[in-house]
Amino acid sequence: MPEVEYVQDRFLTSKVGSEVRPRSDERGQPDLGPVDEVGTPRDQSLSGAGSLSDQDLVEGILVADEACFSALYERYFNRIYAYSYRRLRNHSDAEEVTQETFVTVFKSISNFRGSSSLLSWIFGIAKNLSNNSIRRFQNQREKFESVPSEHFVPNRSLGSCAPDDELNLQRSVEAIRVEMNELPDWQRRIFEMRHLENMSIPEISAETQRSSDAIRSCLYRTKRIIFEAVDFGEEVRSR
Amino acid sequence: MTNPVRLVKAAAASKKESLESSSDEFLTAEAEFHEALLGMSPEELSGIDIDEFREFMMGGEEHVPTSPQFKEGLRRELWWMMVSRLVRRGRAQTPE
Repeated sequence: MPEVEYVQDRFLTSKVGSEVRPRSDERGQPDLGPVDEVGTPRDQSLSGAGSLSDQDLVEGILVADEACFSALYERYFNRIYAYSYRRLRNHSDAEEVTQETFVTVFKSISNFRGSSSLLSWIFGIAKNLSNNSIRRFQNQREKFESVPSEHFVPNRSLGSCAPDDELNLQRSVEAIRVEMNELPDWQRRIFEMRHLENMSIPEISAETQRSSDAIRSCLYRTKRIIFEAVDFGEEVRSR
Repeated sequence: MTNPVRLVKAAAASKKESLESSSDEFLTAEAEFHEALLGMSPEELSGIDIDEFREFMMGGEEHVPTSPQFKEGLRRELWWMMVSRLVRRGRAQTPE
């Protein structure tokens, strides 16, 4: 069964407590109406959730109501994406900020108490994440510019490092190897195609039958895992 | 002494009134922006950068090209994440 159908089958009839919740909403919303093959209501106005208040949407999401989830997503996606894109001027970065904003929103939505509006709360998250992204980019550029040009020439092999450096390097490599081994095969393969075989994103996309955006998103997640692994190696070293 | 929050609210109310009868998408977004300002508490309003907030609100009507695959893929991942969290917390259950 395709994944999305499986999710719909499992959760459109999700239980709240011991009560099985029917697909038609308890608050008297009409049925979702026609749904396309990826599970999005074809017409948000048909779902009824599109006209609910933010507070009602939050309550619906907290009982796994997909119509409320989709309505909130539709209400804010374009705003977050366009805002991030205008600030970052780059589609990849705008996608990352949009993704991180929604992940933060949905992870902490159970803590939303309505003391401020959902709109200003989401705006605050998107703004902070965009600022972080801009700051990260500036830091990287400053670091890059501050490195003397002779350092760009590889002049040492692994075996010619000082013993301490070599040990640190080996620990980082080991930490990365452990994390890479835990990745799903397809994710590891995409990373190898990009960074070991120097394939372009369209080439990887054609090879794996995944969209370019899915490839970028996968590479981004893998890089984060690697950076975290290297950070962990640093922590171990500093103990 | 003039209260700046009250001034912003008064300006928003008058602007909203003049815009809400419009059918133009841009003007509708502008009306939504003023409505959002009206709905904010004084604390929220004083802590927000109004120009940036306006930019955020107008983004809903701006045609920045987005990848439909990205949008749908993210929607699926987020829904899956949300439901998994709710199931773990016992807020939703899979049927027997």
